[in-house]
Amino acid sequence: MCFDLSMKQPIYLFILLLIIFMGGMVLSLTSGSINVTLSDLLIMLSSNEESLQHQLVLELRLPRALGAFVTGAMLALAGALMQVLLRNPLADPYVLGVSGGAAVAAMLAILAGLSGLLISGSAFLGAMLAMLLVFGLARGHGSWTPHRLLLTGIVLASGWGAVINFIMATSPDQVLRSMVFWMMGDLGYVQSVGSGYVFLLVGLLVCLPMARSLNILTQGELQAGALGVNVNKVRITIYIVASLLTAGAVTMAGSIGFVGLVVPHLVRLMGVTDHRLLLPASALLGGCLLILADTAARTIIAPQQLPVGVISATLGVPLFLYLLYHGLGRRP
Amino acid sequence: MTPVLQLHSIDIHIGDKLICRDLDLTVGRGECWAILGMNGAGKTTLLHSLAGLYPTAKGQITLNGVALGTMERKLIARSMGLLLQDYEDHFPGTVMDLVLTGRHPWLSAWQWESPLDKQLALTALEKVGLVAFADRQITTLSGGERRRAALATLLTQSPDILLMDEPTNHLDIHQQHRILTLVRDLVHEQNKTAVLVLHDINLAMRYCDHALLLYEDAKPLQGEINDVMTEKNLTELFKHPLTAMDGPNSRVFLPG
Repeated sequence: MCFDLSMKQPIYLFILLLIIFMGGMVLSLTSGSINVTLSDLLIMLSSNEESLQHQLVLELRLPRALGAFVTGAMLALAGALMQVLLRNPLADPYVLGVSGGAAVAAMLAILAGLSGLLISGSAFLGAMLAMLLVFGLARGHGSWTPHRLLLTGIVLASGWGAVINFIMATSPDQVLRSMVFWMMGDLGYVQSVGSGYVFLLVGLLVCLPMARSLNILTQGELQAGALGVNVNKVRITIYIVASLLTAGAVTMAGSIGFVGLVVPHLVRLMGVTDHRLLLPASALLGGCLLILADTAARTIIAPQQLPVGVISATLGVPLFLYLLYHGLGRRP
Repeated sequence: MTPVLQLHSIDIHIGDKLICRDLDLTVGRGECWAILGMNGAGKTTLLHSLAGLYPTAKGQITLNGVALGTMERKLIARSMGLLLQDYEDHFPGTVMDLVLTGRHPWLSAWQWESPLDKQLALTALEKVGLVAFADRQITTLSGGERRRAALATLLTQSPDILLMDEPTNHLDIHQQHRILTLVRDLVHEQNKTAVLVLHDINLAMRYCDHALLLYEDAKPLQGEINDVMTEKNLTELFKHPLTAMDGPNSRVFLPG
């Protein structure tokens, strides 16, 4: 089987991703506790008839699928950016503690008795605070090496982890369940999907003109500087964009693991290493993967739902290992 | 001689260590300079300063008369390129991808490499003998092949001034001479300028016309190669006795 969708035919890659996207959308809209056939779906989308099915599909499943897509896309894009920023293939959107800050703020909001949008709002503020903290501390005396940034981020992330554990250990049982949401992630309560798409589009529009610079940045800061990249500007920009995307994703769906780490590598293993293609392809694939994972999460043992992170890892791990083995093994 | 790269009373520190004090240096178009010194003398740091990538403690560097600090990196990269000593290959990519990054300073943000850019990259690969490697992953290259791929990137960038940190590192003797001949031809035939950090005194004698010796007392010695590279100066520089002899192409030095 050939996975080498190399730079020469990027168009095929994007066609493939679009097909996966449409397939994922159809699957997500038709399956669930009440199954809808494809022809029902087509009729539904073209008429204005107000049936229960209609409501179920358009008011529950569609926003959820769109929310899953944008969350996955934001996470995958943020992951791809973080990997270049830290020049570390193991980096993911959460590595610098942005999600930890969001979770702490959200849990404090839950304890304070806030609900709904107020919790999301404080999660977003927490993510911003975490981002500024890492940024300020890592900058230190002006040296801003990827190493320093990574270490600062990891240490602060552990700090957030300790605060999270403290809050959970001392909180009453009845709020624990809603706290777990921020730890594992869940697409069942996705709100303000539209703002997610705004984040994603702005993120892509800011990063794409820098994508060639990112290609060079993978070779190190000195090489990038020598080839005319304004290293500081690019780094600060991708740091802010990646953090905002992560904050947006975490606010919408909690910390869904795995997508941000693995999707950029999946795309690389398909032969795409140029960030001008890698960034949009990662966003698309991340979105598709999360739609599929979420559909599986709410259908496998319906009406009960599984955490989507369980499914995204179950789908992603074998796929990743297959590509790692076959994709890399075939390289000359 | 037109000055292209000038240092005006430069101080450079590495941490607390001063590597040069009040250094004035004028590199003219069509000159090929060798920077020599012991390990840790600050050769690489000086080269990075020349590229505007390491801050100087005092003084000013000008590129074609313009202060380096006021120029956009992209414009600097159009006239000055740097071959680094080390690489960081953490992510996959082909040799062709790598070499094409040399066109970066010449392209606008949304622009893609044209067939002409690819042709330039292929020509550069041909010059370093790596055409057959264009589709290879960079992580599968040997040290010498990786070195030549980096050199091809620099050639694709096609700057007027080539700063090269140990260009012969990892290369076998044939490739060492092939690469340095290539550099010398660029200097002689296309009026380019080269500044090379070298460890091999005899390669410097043979291919360069000027030399800068970085001593431990932060007072470098500079000038035309035959004036600077003497038994006495080099023995003092490397703290190792050296004897000069007449070689077939140039003066050669043997360690005593």
